[in-house]
Amino acid sequence: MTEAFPFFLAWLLTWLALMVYLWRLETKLKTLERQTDEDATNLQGG
Amino acid sequence: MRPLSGNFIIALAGLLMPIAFLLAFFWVPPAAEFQKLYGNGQIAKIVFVHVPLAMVSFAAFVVAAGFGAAYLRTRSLRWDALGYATIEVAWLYAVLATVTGAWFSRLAWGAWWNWDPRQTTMFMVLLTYTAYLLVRGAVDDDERRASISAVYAILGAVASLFLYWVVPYLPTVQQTSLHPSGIVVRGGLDASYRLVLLLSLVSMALMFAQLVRLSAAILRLECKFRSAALTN
Repeated sequence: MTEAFPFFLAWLLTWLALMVYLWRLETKLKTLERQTDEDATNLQGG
Repeated sequence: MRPLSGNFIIALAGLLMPIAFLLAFFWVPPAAEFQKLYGNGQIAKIVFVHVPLAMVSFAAFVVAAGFGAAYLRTRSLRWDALGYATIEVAWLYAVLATVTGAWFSRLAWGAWWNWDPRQTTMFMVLLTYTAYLLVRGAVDDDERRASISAVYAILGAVASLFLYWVVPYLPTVQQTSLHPSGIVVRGGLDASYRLVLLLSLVSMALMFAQLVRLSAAILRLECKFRSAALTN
């Protein structure tokens, strides 16, 4: 099983990199969407 | 709120990726030919990560050229956002393909980098698109940036086509290459490899689609904010 470690490591690295990138994009998009909603509310209020 | 299609894509990718991994880890046997050549048949399983990453990145560079052509025809910034998002994510995939390739190189040939024709051409593709990302960052005007990016994406795809599919297959280059793609092409791997490779390819392509969707949505919103700031 230790011989399979290189594959495990390659898969783990790829999976982690993709998940971190996905999380980063999701967070950024949510922030921008919230900002859009706030701007729209401000416009209605003003 | 994220549209249903986004949830579906990410759920499917999130399901298929671990399934592909578990099958690769527990079901697929070590490759006999790799065992003979490199003393560890298990390292052949790195193809389940490395090959889909390289294939998806190459396909994406071609698709991005299509988005570039669509922008030049319509002048709609929607195509520009899609093209940029596609190249940005494809660049990440190409980096990961290079890293996993270097890891294989270390295990099989004893060095992280050998200047093997495949490694070198992949590195050149990476440099090409790193320059694309830098050029984009240097232009402020949205339309000018979109035009430059579109032309660059088309030229970059032509260069990638040449570097991925022509250079490594030149007879003189093939003679010097250590890359084990020949073993895979002539069917030197167990049939289970094909199935898991396909599964892994689908999961990585789905993940790619979701990342591009999110990235393009961010770009569109940022563009909207910039326009609003200019008009105020």
